[in-house]
Amino acid sequence: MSTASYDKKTQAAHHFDSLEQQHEASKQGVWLFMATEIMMFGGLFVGYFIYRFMYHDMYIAGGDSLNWKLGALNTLVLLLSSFTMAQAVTETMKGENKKALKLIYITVACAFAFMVVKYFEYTAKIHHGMFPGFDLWKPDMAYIAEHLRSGFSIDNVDPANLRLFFVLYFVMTGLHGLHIIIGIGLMFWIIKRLKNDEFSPKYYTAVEGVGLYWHIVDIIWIFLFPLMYLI
Amino acid sequence: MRFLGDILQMLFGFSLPEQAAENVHLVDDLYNVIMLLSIVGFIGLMAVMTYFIIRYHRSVNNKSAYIPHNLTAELIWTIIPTIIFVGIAIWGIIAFNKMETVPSNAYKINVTGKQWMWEFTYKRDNLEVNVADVMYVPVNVPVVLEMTATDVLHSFYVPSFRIKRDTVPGMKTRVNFTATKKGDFKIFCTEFCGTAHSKMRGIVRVVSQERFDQWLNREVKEANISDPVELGLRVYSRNCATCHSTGTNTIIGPGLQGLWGSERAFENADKLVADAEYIRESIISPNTKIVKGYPAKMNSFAGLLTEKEIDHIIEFIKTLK
Amino acid sequence: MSNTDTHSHGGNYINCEKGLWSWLTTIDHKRIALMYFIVIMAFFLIGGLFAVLLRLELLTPEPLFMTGDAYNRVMTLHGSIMVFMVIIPGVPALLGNFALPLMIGAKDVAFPKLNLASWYCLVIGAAIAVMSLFWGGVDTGWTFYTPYSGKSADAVTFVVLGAFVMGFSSILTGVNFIVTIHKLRAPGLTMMRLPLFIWSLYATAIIQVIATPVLGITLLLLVFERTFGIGIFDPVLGGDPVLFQHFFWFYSHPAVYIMIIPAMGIISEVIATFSQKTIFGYKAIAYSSLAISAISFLVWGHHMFVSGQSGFAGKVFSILTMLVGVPTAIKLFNWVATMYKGRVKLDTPMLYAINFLSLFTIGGVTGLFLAAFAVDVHLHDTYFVVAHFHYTMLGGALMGFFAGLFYWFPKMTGRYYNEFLGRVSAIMTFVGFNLTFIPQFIMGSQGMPRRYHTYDGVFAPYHMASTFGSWIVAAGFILAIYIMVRGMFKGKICTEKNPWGSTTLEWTTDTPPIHENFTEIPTVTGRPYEYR
Repeated sequence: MSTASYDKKTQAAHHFDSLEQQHEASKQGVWLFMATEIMMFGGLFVGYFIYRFMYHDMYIAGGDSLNWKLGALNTLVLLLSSFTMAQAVTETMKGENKKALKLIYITVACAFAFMVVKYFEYTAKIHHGMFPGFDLWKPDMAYIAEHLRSGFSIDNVDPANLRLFFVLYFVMTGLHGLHIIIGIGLMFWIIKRLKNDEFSPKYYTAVEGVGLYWHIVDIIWIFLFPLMYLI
Repeated sequence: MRFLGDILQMLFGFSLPEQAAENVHLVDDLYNVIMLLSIVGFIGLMAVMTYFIIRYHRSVNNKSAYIPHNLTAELIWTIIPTIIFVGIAIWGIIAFNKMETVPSNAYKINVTGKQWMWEFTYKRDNLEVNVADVMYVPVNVPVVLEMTATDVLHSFYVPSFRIKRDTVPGMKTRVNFTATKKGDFKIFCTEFCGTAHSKMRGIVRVVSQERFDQWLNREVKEANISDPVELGLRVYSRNCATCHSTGTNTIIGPGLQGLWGSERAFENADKLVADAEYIRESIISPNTKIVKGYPAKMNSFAGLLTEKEIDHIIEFIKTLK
Repeated sequence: MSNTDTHSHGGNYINCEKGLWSWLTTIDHKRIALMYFIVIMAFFLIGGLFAVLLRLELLTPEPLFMTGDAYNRVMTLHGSIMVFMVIIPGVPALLGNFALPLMIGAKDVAFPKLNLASWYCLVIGAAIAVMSLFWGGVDTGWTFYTPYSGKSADAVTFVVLGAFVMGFSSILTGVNFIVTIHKLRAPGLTMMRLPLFIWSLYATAIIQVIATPVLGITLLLLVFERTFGIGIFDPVLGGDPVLFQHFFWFYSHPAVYIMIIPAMGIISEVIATFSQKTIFGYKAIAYSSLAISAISFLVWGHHMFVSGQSGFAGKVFSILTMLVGVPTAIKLFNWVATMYKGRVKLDTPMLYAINFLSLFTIGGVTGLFLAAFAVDVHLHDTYFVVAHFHYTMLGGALMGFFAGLFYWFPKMTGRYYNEFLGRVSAIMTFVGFNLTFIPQFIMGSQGMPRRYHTYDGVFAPYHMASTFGSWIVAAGFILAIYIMVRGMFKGKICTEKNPWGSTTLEWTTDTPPIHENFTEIPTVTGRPYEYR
């Protein structure tokens, strides 16, 4: 049977006892789903560590060839967006929907900025022949050697195994970027509902849920950044 | 102990292959003991259950008892299985350790799994001898196999020796055995590897040390043959024969008879007359020109065959009229 | 404040709304359960057809009517369909969905719309996977080992993407059930008063949520490998093919517990009800479900004893695998002990439960052979393994599944099935199953490898017996499904709330239940299975 229409701002769905119970259940659901996201990326992190252990020099060379300044910029951008998102949730809890809307706009802008920086990073890598697929793998070893830190020799770097660093780089940051895009979509959904006056201090579950999703996406980047760019 | 093992072997041995290597008892004894415990446990549990069903059937029992738990029973049937299971695990580990110990004087043979055949490489002084499908070994001599694969996963399994290990491209794996009986023992590939997985068979031929030496000497001599056609035939037997016949019939790929100088039609290229360049290309980059009516199944042999070996194959093919 | 429902309580959940659209857009967990019944039974019949075809081909050592490629594709699809479209969704999605809210005194699951989304994920994922048939099929085996799966010319990507989408069905169901059990229990229903079926769904949901995403990323990496040629599992490009096996089995071993734990939950319900006696060792069964769930994550390497994995790892996995056998054995003893001094009746659900007890025990003890390191070296990738997992998955999980289907049939449909034919189907499947798979144990230990299209003539008698058995098993299950489908439309009407004399909450509702499940949420004052 389709849902009977009822006022979502003041009434819980028919199978819940109260709005509080519904809210808590929804939060639990979102946390559980976040656990699945962590397990999914977790598999990739395990792969990263295994290949890093097997091909240490290659990982140093690969990591050094990434632009850590752009990576750091992206980190700051995401941290800012997490802050504005958290504030947006707080404002919705207080009923200040207009302020919340502005904060979400800023969050979305940060997300776009992140993707733009990503675009530049990716195209630079592809230009240097470092995309490990579609027959585009022709690594510019001179470029790699130029950025390699002292104490390591480019002679120890086997292009075939260096490729594995970039495989994990593109897969992990790419999948992460996909989740950023999904997050943007979710935020547009929240924006639409905010404008429609669908939230109240008693009912703001979706905003909190999307906020939680966004924080997890941020945390994954917080781990990705040092592993890829810094160490 | 051995006596007990023999009794169990009499009872359950029919389900095991013949015992043709030294370490077979390590596996069989444990297998038989687990079999005994399993059968006893299963029949015991089923007997009790059947008795309960009959004795306490609704038609003969008016009131059920209220027994939510019984600490003694639960402790017994927790602790005893735990001890038995862990005991079996430890026994299995000890047995495995023994199976994995390679005697220091073991004779080494290299095994390569490729779609869809086994290649064995023997080294004598500085010479390497490659043979396909049949692995000669001397009886009662420890043998260690260093194994790898060239394309996909395969697994080298000799049931009569109770040995098995995957052959992994890019990696070396190892098994060892000491054959105790002379005869032919089957090799199976036991990791799914594509179309002809079930046909990827071989034989371990266990012979006396004298016969083995004779055989190896002959192989070394033949490895020194310089006739290119003869060499081509050998390369063909080891790499091409599983899929290409020397006649006109199709095994998986086209038969090679009459190939040289004939006109070939392709799925994805214009037709041409088969020459040395075409044959070389179809070995290095087989999917560039796929013969009409055939699937794109051939692996590239780039890096697996030397230029010289390809020359020899071409010479050999020229003779197939 | 909960909203007041404005629908008419015309009758029950089946007839309160009419029309295909009302079903396809339903968020009623009971209707969703029936929709799962249709798709899962359909996939079961298709997967079963492939099995019968396989066994027919294997009647003779030489090829009969299939080429090597055709055989490999049928083999792969049989496994993929049965695993992803039948046994993994099986009990949780169908029976769990129907019974969970009713058994805990709730009006629905926590997230009804997500529940419908789960159903669509299964259907869409299955459609994507089956599309592979139109592109030649898939021949890698349901385990998709690399490098072969990265290179095979077949339509691997379709099946893998389909499995990825179906994975979401499993994940979302798991999330839904955990929150439902946490939040929507009726007043007085503490965790220690939950029926054991609910405990089993809970333990299973944990696995569904934690393990399935790892399969997701593994399959995604395989798709990238094939589409972009990234080389993560390809040794030519520097990758490690064995890494795929680690990733794959990290999910797929816990997955087999997704298959068996809910079936075990059903056995607890059925044995208690059909012995009219309280379950023996309630706490032990509840805790052992959680224990199995937890330990299941630690044993994946036992699929890889001969893969080139280190000997040390193998030893650790061997010991841990043995430990997971202990809670399983405890449950078996507890179930048999429940029958002691009970009032046993051999109706169809109970016969299927007895099938479970006998066949799963065989499956379990043959697991001991495979967990013993040295013995597994000989038995790995032979028919012994094939027989072992069929005994646990078919003899165990599927028999439990059918026990549950017959058990809840009156409540779900408001009709009775034909009891005599039901018993016949239980006996037929038991006999046919043993005839099919006992010979496989024997030829496996004698060295018959699995996934073989042609085989050495010495194994022919075993294969023949196995093929004959497959016809009897197939007939038995077709009969079972026929009885159920016929019963749904032509069976004798059942208005009895509690035809079996059970003690759990779902048997206090109308038969079939109203849309809302309960006119008044009950208050629970004691444990279930209190037959005094």
